[in-house]
Amino acid sequence: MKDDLFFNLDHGYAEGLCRGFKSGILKASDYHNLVQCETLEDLRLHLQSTDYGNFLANEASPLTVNVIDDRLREKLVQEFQHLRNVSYQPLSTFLDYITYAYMIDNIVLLITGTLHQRAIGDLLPRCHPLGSFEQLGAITVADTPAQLYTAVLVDTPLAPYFIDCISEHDLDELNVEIIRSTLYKAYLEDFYNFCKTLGGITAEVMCEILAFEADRRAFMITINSFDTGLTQDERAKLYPTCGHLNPDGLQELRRTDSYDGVRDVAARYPQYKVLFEGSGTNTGDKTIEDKFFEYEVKLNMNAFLRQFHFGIFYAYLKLKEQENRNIIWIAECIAQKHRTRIDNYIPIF
Amino acid sequence: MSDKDRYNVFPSRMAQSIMKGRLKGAQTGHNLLKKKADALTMRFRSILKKIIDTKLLMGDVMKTAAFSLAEAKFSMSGDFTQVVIQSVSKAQIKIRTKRDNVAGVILPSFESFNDGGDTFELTGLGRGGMQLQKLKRNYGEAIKILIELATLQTSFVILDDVIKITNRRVNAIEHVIIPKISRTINYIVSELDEMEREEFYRLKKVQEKKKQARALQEKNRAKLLESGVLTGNEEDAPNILDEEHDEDILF
Repeated sequence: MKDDLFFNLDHGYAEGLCRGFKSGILKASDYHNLVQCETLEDLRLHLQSTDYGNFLANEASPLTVNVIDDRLREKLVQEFQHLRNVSYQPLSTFLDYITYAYMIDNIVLLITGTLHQRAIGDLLPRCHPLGSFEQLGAITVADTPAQLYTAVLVDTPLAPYFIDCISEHDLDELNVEIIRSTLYKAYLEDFYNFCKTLGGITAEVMCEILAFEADRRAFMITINSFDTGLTQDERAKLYPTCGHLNPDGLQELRRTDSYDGVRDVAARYPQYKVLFEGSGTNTGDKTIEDKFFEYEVKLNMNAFLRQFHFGIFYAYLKLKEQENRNIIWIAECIAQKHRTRIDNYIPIF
Repeated sequence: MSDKDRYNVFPSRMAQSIMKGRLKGAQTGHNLLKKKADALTMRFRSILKKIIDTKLLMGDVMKTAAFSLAEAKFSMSGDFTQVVIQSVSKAQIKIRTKRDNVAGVILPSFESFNDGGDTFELTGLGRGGMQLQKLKRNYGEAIKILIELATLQTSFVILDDVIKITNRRVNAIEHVIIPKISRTINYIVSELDEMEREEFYRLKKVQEKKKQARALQEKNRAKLLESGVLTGNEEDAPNILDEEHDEDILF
């Protein structure tokens, strides 16, 4: 009850804005048009008639896929930052939580760069703009990852993730991917707990989405680590615990050594069983990753069916990102004249 | 014949035999060089064919590789290319050069080997790992084909050069050296003939002169005989050196 009555006081404008943005997401007919394009110029023309408008108007021809990628990301960042600027607490904290994921990526990039003695000035433009934080500019002082941690990262909102799992010593030694996965696990669990404390419809919607994200990560880490040197115990440390698989599923996953083993574990959970059944590792089938993407899109779309909760902001961001990926995929297929798999984008509507 | 079309030698029999030796040497050299040029041309053609095939294959492989890059970007969250670029430390695939000998021409050939482990084993652990493995495989193949192409192309360029040089030499021998030597030999032969003719003529002239002188002497002698100054019994002046047995004078 409380949700419905008082939600619009603080967050009505933001929600309205978000729903407006959501209605501008490309429909199936738009994708159909885009797939028919022969060149990137045609693509630009078709995008002009959608909500994207003239975002590519100032680009000189010949248009390249990288340019389209940059402009799409810029537009998304602008919309998100506008939402962030008009939001009140606790929506603003929620939106900040969403940006932590990008911060993790940026920090991993910076750590990699310092590890290989690259100039920080080169790395800063390559960071994702949604993941920037104030101390980003101050990173030039650090030379090694340990220095980076003590000087800069301790003051960021990500500090608790570092403290829980990684020591300074580890920063220098561990593979960056393991650092990234560990940070992401801590972040997911933190976000999950935050949503739970928010309660109400937000908790219902977001926890569903985050639980799926956690399980999906567990599955993907397992599958992707089969041929690498990652041991089962190391791998188990990377599984986020806020999903449906916790705790028995994770135990099982830890012990599996093959794709079929993973499939068996998934068979015990009905929603994942369906996903694994529809996919395969042959070249003609959809891969399990594609199925995961589709399921994620479905969950995000369902978030919009309910009102008065924060889940729509998260869902909007993820859907917009997926749409960007779709557009880039179609653009690349057109640019490389490789149209056989052009229909492999994930349809949203 | 003007002087610049032949060698400047003094025409003698020895010069002739020397020139004949040189002609033989030039002809042998010409044959050998022609064989070398033929062998190189054969190898050249086969390399050309291989280059065409490899380039076509490379086009396809690069296309597949670029497409798999697009696929990987689609399924990976975020811009993994930046992290990969930043964490490059040393080359994973290195090349060793070996030498190949074709008709005396040294051609380099490149062979690749994997130095060190795969530093990007864990990239894409959370998302898109399978696409990334495919991407790595495709680009690995592309590199192998590029290395092959590099070998073929350096051989092509080197062979082209050497074939041009060899053909130039073959033509030079065939159209310049050998005719020059032949002309020299002809000149020597003609000079020798002329010298022989001169000798002959000189000989004949001397003989004639001697005959004339003797005829004159005979004529004079006959005249003197007639006039009675000389009898026919005159012998020539006795030769002291003759060992004639003088009779002993007995008193």
